[in-house]
Amino acid sequence: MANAVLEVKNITKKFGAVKALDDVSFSINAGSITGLIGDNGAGKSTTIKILSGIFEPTEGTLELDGSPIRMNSPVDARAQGIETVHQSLALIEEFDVGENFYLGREISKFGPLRIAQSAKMNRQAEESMKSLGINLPGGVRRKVRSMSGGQRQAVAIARASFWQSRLLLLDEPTAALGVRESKQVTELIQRLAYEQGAAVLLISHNMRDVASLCETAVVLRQGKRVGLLEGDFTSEDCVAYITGARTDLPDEDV
Amino acid sequence: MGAAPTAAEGAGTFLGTVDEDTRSWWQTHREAFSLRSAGAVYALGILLVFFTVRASQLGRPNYLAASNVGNLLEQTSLIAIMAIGMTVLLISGNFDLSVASNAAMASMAAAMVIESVGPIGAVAFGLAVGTFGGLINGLIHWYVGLNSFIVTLGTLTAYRGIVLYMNDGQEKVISREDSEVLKGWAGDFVGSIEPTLVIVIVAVATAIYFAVNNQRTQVIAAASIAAVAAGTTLATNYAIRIAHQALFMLILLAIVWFVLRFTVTGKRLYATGGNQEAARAAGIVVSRYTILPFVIVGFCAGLAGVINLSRVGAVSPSLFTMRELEVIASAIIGGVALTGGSGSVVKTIVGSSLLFVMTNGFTIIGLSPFITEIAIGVLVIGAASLYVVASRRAAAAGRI
Repeated sequence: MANAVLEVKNITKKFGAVKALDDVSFSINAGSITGLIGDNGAGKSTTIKILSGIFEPTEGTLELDGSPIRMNSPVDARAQGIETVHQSLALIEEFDVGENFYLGREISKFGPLRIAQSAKMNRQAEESMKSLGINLPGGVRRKVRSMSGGQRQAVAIARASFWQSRLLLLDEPTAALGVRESKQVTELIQRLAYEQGAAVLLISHNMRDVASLCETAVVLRQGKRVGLLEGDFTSEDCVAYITGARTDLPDEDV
Repeated sequence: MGAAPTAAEGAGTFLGTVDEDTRSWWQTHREAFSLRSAGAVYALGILLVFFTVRASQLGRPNYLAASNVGNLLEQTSLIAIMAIGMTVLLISGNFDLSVASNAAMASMAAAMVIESVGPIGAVAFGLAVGTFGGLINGLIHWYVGLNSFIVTLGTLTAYRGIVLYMNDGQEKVISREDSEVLKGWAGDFVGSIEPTLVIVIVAVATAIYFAVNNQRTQVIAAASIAAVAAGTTLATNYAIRIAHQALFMLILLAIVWFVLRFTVTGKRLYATGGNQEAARAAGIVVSRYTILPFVIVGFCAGLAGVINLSRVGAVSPSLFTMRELEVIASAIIGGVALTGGSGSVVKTIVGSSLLFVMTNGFTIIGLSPFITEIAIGVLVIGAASLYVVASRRAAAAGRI
């Protein structure tokens, strides 16, 4: 792959005697959406946690733009340009959009007094939302508490893309949404990948979403990579790999 | 895999159709005036009017007389000082039942050492003991992972035990000389001030702020308020005597309000209390914003303890017994959520004031103090219910 942003190379993760991930490799390219699919317990969450710096792999390496990286915490991952939108979204209910965008990375003035520059943060959050075509009724001063599921998801994704991230990890972005909001959020994800050139890793249970959105999809089953779908694959292909009806692994490995 | 919709196509259709915020000032600010946000302020206003009218009907002295308002401010201050700390802790998502015991421990500790280390040393030691008491609570909560309610239920008793142990369960009286020195620092009156003069100063400062920001309407409004207040100051002679403890409370209030409202530290504190996982994921050092508020409550308890020693010149082993309930009630009446992540110190002070206005008002209009207790109980439940019900309704209706 010419423009791989992240190469996952032979990652294994053990929890005691349990192998949650076993020699998994794949790559994620700039300007494209890669799917990560599998049944419960397949290793999707472990993978996301390794990529977002929460876990360290037992074996294997991660290469960002061709050079190996080590991450000990989510802060390290963000410093490398890897932003994660967790399923829980990690938004503060009582905060407005600007405050949530800058959570943990606030702009302040007057040195040690650390006076938060709220107006500046809100202005920049507003510009970013606008550039993504997100038009939030009530504007960026609205508190998350008063927002719908789709609006929250949009804010969380916009926040992740705001920090010049090279890699966006999206964990079930449409799982909690209705049909209309799902469509709007998937359109937002497409704009991020195709207009802004972000590399997106999409974890989803919705095989139709994965088949229609992703150029490639990595299929995990019991901690192993059992398939790599590319090009014009269908949701039936996904299901076949997930359930074990099909596999790319040699027979003796299954 | 169709072509991606462009931002231009997406604009205007994404998640809503409101292009500009065309809502009026009232629409964008109405939440601040809602019962949930300002209920305590309304209640305080209504009670003040009620007591004023009733006292004059009964031929009692004017309820809003400068002397009574000064008394109220003085009575409120000690509980209010602890309630300011408690608010910070509640915002961070925790709770301190031991605050009053801790204050008594600090007071007794200062009284015990004053003979050997002198007044400065005693004040410093008292503040340190209170702060340390808070730190212990915070460390146990964080490192053992024990609910703060349980930790401080334990230290509530343990700290009171230390108070009793220090002087064998006896009252500790400090020497007349030491007492005089402390009184001059923290146990007397600072002087008198006309509240309208304070309004003049604040309004002028506000007018200057708006003038710098070129907001003409606001400059005119602030200047008009300043002018009216200045006129009132000259025309009347309404001066309130300010006790040391009231001054300390107001200074503490100003500092904490500023930090919570405008600084990164304040925002991170709200974030930690509102959603600890999100705060941690954002790289905020959650342990710091969890332990520090316990220390702040401890310092406030120490301050209350030292001030009380300065006023009285003695420490009773039962000092502040059960007063933690007033401290916590102040915050709840002021609308601080026990779940963390929201709350305002200014409203907590309104909550403290409500408690003392009720006690003082019922006495002046000649109602039984037992009725006051009942009324305060009802008020606490009422305030908390209001908050819960209003939040539920906002959650149901607010989502567009």
